[in-house]
Amino acid sequence: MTRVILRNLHKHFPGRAPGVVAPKRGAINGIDLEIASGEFFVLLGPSGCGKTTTLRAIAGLEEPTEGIIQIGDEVVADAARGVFASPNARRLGMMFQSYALWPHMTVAQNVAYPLERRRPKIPRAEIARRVDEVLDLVGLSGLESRFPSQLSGGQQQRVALARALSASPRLVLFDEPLSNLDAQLRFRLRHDLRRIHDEAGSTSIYVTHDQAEALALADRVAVLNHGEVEQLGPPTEIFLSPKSRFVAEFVGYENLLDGTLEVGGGFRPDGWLRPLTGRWVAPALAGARGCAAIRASGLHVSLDATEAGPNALVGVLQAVTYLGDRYSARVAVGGQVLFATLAADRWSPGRPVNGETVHLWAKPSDVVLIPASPEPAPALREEAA
Amino acid sequence: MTAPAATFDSPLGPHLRRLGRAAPVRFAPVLAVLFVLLVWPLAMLAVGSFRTAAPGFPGEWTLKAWGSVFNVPAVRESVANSLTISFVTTAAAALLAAGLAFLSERTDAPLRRWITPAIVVMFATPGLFYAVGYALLGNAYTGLFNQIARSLTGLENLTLIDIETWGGLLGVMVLKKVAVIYLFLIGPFRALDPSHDEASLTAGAGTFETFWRINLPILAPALTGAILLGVVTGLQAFDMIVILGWPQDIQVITTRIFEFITVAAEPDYARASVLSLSLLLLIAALSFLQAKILGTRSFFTVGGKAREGQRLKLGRLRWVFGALIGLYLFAAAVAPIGSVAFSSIQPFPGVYENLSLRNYAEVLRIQRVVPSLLTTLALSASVGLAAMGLAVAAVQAGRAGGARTAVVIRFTTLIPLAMPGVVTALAIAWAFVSTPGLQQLYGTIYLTGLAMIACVMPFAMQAAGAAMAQISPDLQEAARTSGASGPRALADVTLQLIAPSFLTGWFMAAILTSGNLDVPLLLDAPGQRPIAAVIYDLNNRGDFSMACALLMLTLLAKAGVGLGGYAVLKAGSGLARRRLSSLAKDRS
Repeated sequence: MTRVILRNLHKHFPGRAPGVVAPKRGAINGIDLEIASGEFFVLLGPSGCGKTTTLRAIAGLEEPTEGIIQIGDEVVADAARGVFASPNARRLGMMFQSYALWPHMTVAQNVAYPLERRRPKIPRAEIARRVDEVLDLVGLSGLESRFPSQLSGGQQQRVALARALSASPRLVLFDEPLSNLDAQLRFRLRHDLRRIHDEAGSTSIYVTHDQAEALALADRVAVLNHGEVEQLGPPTEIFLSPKSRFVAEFVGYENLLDGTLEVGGGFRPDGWLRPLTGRWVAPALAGARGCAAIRASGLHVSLDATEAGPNALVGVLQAVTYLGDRYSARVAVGGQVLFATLAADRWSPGRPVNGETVHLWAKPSDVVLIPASPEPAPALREEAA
Repeated sequence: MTAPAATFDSPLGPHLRRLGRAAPVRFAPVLAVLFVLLVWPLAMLAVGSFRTAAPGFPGEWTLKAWGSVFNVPAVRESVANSLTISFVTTAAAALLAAGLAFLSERTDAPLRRWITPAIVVMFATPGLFYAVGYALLGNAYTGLFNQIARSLTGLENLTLIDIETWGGLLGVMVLKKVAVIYLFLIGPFRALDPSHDEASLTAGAGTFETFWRINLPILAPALTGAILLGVVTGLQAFDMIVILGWPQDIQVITTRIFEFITVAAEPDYARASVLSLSLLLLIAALSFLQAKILGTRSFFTVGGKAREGQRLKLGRLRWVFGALIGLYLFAAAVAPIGSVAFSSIQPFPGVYENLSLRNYAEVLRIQRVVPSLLTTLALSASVGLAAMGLAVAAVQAGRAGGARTAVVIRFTTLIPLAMPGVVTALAIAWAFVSTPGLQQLYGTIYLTGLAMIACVMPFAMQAAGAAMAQISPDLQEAARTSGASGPRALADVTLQLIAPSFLTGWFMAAILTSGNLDVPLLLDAPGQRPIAAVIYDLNNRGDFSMACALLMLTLLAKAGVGLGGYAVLKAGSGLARRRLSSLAKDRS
């Protein structure tokens, strides 16, 4: 059983003036998570949100300012009781963004290193066997005696993975391991990572800012913002029912319209005359503020009114971009600009845009309505800090 | 899922450690050593300037030294001399160095590829070697240069150069100082971005206009920094002035400090300390100014991309510039080394018969010479190793210990940069003699060694810092998460990766130590005089040829160790490469 539990985890970095705890990039402010044994867990967020700091705290590379970290049944960090286990005592594997392959060691030496550090000692023959096995798993058999500088980026990435896995750690940590690769390679390795996780059976925690990676890999995703968990759930929930404007924006909703819930259930964006019908992700009362999130792919453009569906709007076409299987359209509606999709057979590449009047529509299930979270009173905020 | 109660009797037991105090405690030994070696001596030097007695002796508190020292006319004269020498040599050397850097990096002048290697050799050549070489070359009566001129012209009384004059002293110091300033300027010159030039050229400016309007302003901070560095090294100059200036009664601040302690009938430690501190403050102010100028306006970056920009075509003038480079290389590198080499086989300066290697045999027969060579070898090797080891530990502590630790360490290790060797030696003497338990070190080679570590510390920090900066912290962290303890990760990853830079730094630190004359002259360890001091003694009592033979022997020894080390390093990496390619062949 290697579950990982974080309780009220804080990490503050010293500010310039002593005593001032300014919000800093990468700081974490009270994270509570329970990651189940064998789970593939993804920490998702923009740069500076604290996801890497959280991962490094779990690895033992950062000492938490406050809170408890538990791996399996062992408390590895408890700031209040002064407990802190060094990284080498935590029996984990970690894959670094830069790969951090040791340039003076061969592939085999890099991969054997975690095995050689194990106590009680593992016999040489057993280490060699295990190195072969892991290199086979990542598809690098035959490259044992190469040095990292003689490998391609994708191969280096696989060596880093093999090294993280070689000692059969109970927990594997991934710090944006795919961000330095080109798109095609990233796509292939993403699948490999998930396959290898399933085969190895260890718990995995994966940090990324790429929502597509989170979708492909995760059992559950935690979206982090300003060092706090903004939303936690399976990928489908995060992507289909974002709980806040921030999450919606981060997972790629192009159109975000602030507005008010009307009596009768409609949502009226500010400055609009007509309400939208959509799907509420959380209960809200009439008069409540909120936000409508619509993906460009769910907002359709028609050139004539008869084709329009529910939530019909009229707007002026401003620009059209060819995307291969469809067009992306920029449409002005009232004072706002919306991004929508124009079907491939309704336009032609290079056709000039002459301010055509167009009709927009969206299925109510594609209009995600997010109630604004009540802002905490300023006094409370200060107390928390 | 609920968390079970946290327990302390987990399998992690022995690895658990207390938070908070842990990080500073780990690096306490490094900080303590730096304190004892660098901060404590400075403090004791300050204390010493208020004492009536010598270090280790009971005395009283007094302001007498502070009040009286600058009233002595001789002291005032030496302060004036220091400033004159410093500014005059800096102005001339900066012009020469900038010109050479420009010719070497930006033009197609012939011989330009020889400039940098020659200057590196000059930089590593101790001032002692230089001074003795020139003293013999430019002596008004017996100097080789004048002798050759006489035999060429047939004029019996012709004296082209007299080195034992103000002009001679300044000239020799300029030639040596060019090396320091050049090495400081070459990076920025090399890093000049050719695209800036190209942008200027496409905008319609000519090559010379581009140099004046674009390159020079970009280089301004580096030039200013180099000039201040020149002034600082000028104020610290000691060995050249002791050899070339003393015979003509030219005294500077450092020689006056030396005189207060060793030559005067009654050593006056308090006045020496006052003079040292004053010099220190002046240099610290200049260094601060230099850091300010360079720190905030560092326009240049030494990039990884080696782009060969368009070199300035000198046309027919290139032979003129080539000749000037040749002249400089001859005057600054060939002449002094040739002079020492030739003098070492002469029976006596000015005598051109019976040239032989007799001097070498004779100098080795002098009782203390062989032990002194061995002492110097052991001393240089261990001082270099200790300084580099301490520097690596200090850089590592600064990296792991947080921003404040890093600043403290950086500042501490820069202290000796502002201290001439004479002042460092005096400060170390004060500190160790007045500390019970450390007193026993006085008069031993160990104290000499400690003072030399302090002297070479800024260089070692520079070398270690540059080497460690190449190693991403990720690499060590990867070892930690793979199960390696902190020291183990340092040994397995960082130390192995910096090994070649570490060895080079060790060698350079040892070279600098072996040429240090200031420390052994001040901190005498009876019976264990380093070779620089022995050569100085020989030269002082007129055994010029034997001094030269010994200089040549040490030069050859250094070259031998250097080339040997280089060959070992090369062979090591060659072996690794061969093993690698044979393995690759097995696989295919």
